[in-house]
Amino acid sequence: MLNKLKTFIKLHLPKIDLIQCWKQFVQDVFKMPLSLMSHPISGFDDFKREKTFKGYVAIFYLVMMIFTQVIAYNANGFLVNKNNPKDFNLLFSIALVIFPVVIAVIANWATTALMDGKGTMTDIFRVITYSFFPYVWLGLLATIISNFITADEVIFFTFFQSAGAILMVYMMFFGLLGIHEYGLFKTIMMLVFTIVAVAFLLFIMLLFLSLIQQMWAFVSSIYQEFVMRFL
Amino acid sequence: MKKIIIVMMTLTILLLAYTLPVHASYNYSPLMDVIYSAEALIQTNVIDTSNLVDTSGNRVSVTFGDLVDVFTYEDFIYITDSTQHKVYILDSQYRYVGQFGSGEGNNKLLSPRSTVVTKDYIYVADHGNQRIAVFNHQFEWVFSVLAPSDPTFKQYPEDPKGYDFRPTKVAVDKTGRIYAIADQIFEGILDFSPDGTFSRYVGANTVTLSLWDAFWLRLTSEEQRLAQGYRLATTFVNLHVDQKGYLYTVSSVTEGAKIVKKLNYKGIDVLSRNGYIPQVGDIASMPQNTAVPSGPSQFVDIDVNDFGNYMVLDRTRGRIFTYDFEGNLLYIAGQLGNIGSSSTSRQSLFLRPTSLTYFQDSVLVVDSMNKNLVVFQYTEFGRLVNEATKYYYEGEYVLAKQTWEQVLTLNTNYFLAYAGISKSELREGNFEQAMHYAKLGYDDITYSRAYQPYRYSQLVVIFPYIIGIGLAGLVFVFIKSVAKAVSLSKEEEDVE
Repeated sequence: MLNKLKTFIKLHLPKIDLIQCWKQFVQDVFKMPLSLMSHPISGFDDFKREKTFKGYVAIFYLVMMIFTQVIAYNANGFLVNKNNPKDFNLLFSIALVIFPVVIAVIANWATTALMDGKGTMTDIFRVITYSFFPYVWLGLLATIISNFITADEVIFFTFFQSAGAILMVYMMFFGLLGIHEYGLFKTIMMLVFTIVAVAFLLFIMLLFLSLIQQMWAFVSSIYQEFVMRFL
Repeated sequence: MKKIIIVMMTLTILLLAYTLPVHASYNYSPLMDVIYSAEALIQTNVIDTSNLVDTSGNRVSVTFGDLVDVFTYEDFIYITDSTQHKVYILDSQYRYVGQFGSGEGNNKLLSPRSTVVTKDYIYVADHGNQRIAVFNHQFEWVFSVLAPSDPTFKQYPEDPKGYDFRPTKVAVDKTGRIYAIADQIFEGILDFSPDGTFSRYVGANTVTLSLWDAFWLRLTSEEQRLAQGYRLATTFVNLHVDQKGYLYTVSSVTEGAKIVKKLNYKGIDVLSRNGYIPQVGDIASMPQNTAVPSGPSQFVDIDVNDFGNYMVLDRTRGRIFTYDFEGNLLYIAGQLGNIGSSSTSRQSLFLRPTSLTYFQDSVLVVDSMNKNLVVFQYTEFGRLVNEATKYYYEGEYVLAKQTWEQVLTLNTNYFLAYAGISKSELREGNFEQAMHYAKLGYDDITYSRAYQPYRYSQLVVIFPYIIGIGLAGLVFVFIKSVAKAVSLSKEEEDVE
């Protein structure tokens, strides 16, 4: 019986090589983004043509971004952490990462669709999440450092944080340039239009929300009227 | 029937007891939350027309008008009454001693606004008579400080350009220099020599523009600017001179301006602002659904004690905010409100508080609408906090720590006490304790100072291991590379 089961498992379950998995993971999650960061032009060219980017890495960095923000809120050192622990809200923290990403992806896709961009929506999403790479790791490093510094050394903490932010913008810029196959000037134009599109989207959403609210008020008042009169 | 009556009576009593206002004092946490605090100042006595007696215990036929200022000198209290045009003098038992201001000629006051008493003279800001009247201690007029010979003021009665000299508040330092605030004057505080001649303006509030305003000002033309009206500097509301000659001033609330200032002789603001929260009174916005008035605190008076603690009186919500010399908010007392039977209640309720002063171990506040003098006494908690700040001011850190520990037994929410303990632990060299208390008291600087030696002591322990592990790693890498080189050369040999 036991032997039968063993042979069944051997036959039907794919063999998982853990070491190979780990190597692949390191390759995808660390080495790939690092090479993208150091060789942005050729790197993002391959990114699109040779499909060197992986979907799971994009999700991984999106989750890591949330994780970094939450950790930074709660575990930053005493000297740099002025947050009120009472105000912490996990759902809000998650929304604060997911929502801007979704808005940015939609706005960028909408803009580049009009501007002859070659990137698909998936490409844009992956570029944006891949560019979280420096922010996530430098942010975590900054959080660790912040627990071992005095007031004079807070500059190190701010350096790592701002370096992460600057590298993130840098990667995003060249990533979008690469996947849309734009020149420098057109990329800058595209970014400006993307910001306009984001503002437009937010405006539409606000309008829609207030409209829905009014609709709801109308329907509920009709219902009230009906209930009061006829029931 | 009897039962019902008894039940009804108990119910009524219970209900009455329930509706008695439960007064909880509050303070602000370093994270700017409103937190409960122990009461520091409680109202113990109210002196008004109905219970004012003279030294022999007889009722006095004095009717208080608008009481606008209270000042204490040695054992006497000087209360300025602007509608009865008088200054009343009370002794330390709050008994009526005398009054002045209703004499003939120069002895007559017209709507006085403020009184200051020094060793030699009594100075009254005689608002209606456009002068600062100076009396001796027999209440006889000595001289008057008249309008300065400055083009801002009217130089002759029909001068169309100048303003009348209408002093509202006056302060006198140890050397007899007279400082005054006057209506319509934006140039600063008027500074007179001891003999009454005008010498200069001091400490004018500057007009600050926000970046947005400055941007628009650049774009507007000359005519448009004229149409916009003047941007006037923030006016001073009240002032007080401390023992060392520093001027403590409060200004009306304006965006971007400092409300409480401590001016040195050159008119430069030297107030310490190291507290958790800025010295602006209430920092949290008041809930809209309560009876508490909203809006920023508007300070009307300030007084300083011997060890640098100062308290300001807020007109908006009738609260007294006390700060220490470093700018920490110590405690908040008082409340606006109308309870009707204020003589039976220990509740501190004001209608329009106008002035406050330290007097021996108590705090006196006058209210111009209630027309009374309210006496506050420190509770055990308030007394201990004062004592601790006093010890800290004098450099007695060990005593300060012991007092702060007593404060914590009365109020565990008191962040300043934790910070105070951490400071003295740091001085004693207990770095780990100091860090612990600094974290509780949100004291960044002390934490950082304590952490540096603590980190060093930790590093001394850990560093040998780090070096050891590093060396072992190096050796491992070296051996590995040697082995690789050997195997490579072997391969080469094999090839050959």
